[in-house]
Amino acid sequence: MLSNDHIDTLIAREIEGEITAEEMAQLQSWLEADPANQAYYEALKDTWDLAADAYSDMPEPDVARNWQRFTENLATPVPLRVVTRRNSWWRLAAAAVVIVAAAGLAFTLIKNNRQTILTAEADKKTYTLPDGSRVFLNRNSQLSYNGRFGDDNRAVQLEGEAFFEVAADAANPFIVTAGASQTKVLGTSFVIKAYNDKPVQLDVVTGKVAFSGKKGEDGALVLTAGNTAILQRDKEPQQIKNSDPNFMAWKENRLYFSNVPLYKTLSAIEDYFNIKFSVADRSLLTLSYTGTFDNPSLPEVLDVISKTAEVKIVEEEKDVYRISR
Amino acid sequence: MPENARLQSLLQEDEHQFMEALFKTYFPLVCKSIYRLIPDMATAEDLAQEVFIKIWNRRDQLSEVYFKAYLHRAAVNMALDHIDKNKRRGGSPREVSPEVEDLRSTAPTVHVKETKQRIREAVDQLPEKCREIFILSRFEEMSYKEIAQHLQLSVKTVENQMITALKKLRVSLKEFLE
Repeated sequence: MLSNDHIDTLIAREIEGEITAEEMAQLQSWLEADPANQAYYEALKDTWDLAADAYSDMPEPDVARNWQRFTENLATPVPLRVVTRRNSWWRLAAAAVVIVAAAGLAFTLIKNNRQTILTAEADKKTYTLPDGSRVFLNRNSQLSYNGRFGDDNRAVQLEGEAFFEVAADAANPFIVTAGASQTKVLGTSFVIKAYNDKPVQLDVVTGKVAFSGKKGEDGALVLTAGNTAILQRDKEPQQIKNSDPNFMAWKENRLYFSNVPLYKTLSAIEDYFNIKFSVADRSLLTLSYTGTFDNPSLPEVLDVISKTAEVKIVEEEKDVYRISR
Repeated sequence: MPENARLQSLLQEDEHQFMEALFKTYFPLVCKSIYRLIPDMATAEDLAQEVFIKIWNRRDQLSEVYFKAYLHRAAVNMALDHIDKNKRRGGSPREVSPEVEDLRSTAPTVHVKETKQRIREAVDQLPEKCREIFILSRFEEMSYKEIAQHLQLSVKTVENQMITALKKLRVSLKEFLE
């Protein structure tokens, strides 16, 4: 005798169409055994058939309106070709992101009267640009812009890492050049990390930005909030998953660890405090760790970690800490 | 020329024209697939836009793609991701179905319309996981195995949930099944 569960499974498979000949024969003989079985099967089959109509009256999306919105979001050259007056094109692209067309142009025009903001080894800085945009510079970073910034351009050049909160100005896109990358926005917030020869990394926090490399608009990526991309040397930008919840720790002064292996915790702490860890016993690195630090100080963090993970942390030499059991 | 070959050759010739053709051909399909899982048109349109932004960003890697299936899969993934994210945020997992429009105004088809509306409500009211599985099987033409992989469940669970869905629908739609 076949169990009810087994029969249900056979009916489910028959409906899916992935039933074997042997199973089909089992189902068939069960159906023939009793008219009640037949009625049960038909009720389920009829329900399946009836459900086909559930969404047949669903609203139709407006494709033309959505296409319009899509092109505005991307600000691809598609609308550029049909709109000839430059000014109105900018207005069309208001609140959207614009892709860099003439890479480098803004910078070759003006060399004099450049403003430069620098941060040193142990230094972070918050700075308001003439257009009201705010920049949070991480350690060892440098931001510069020309004397006409805010008048006829909003172009800045970055080395190192910064978080930008860009003031909205649809007529004047904000362009960050960092390494070989260009990031173009109209009003949004994001982090760019561009230290020396490392890949340039962009994390979008709010809004949308266009991120391009050497090829300019042809290789541009459009990124929305919560997305991350990197630009490796001599390549075009590539979207990646940023699984690091501490990518803004340096700005927010908050370290957050949720059930992550200790090596991730340690590497976030290394970045935040600009120190190094050395670990004697590699098995320690996979211990999982959970904890949050607001406005952390190094002694406090080390103390908490050594107690909760049950490890010893000793300063071996300046800024190098040894971890052992 | 078959649709896919036409799109592939457009992609080689002019990526903007390609994008426009792709969008205009498949936006409704993408949007509707998302809408069935997330019955809120504004959200479905937003997510469908995201699907096409992703496609645009990957346009140099599409030369082997069969677009219809690819977009359909991307739409389902986008919807499931969205449901997942909402759940983790603790937000409402499912938007409320749109208001029933005034059925009386379309007198001759009232009965059919009403029936469809009732069927839809019945499907929308299935328990959340059960509903996702039923939709993926019934409307997105996914096999139980594919559904199991997508939702990280066993095939057995998917089969059980399918039968549960059908039994619940049979009860709530009893009057149409006599």
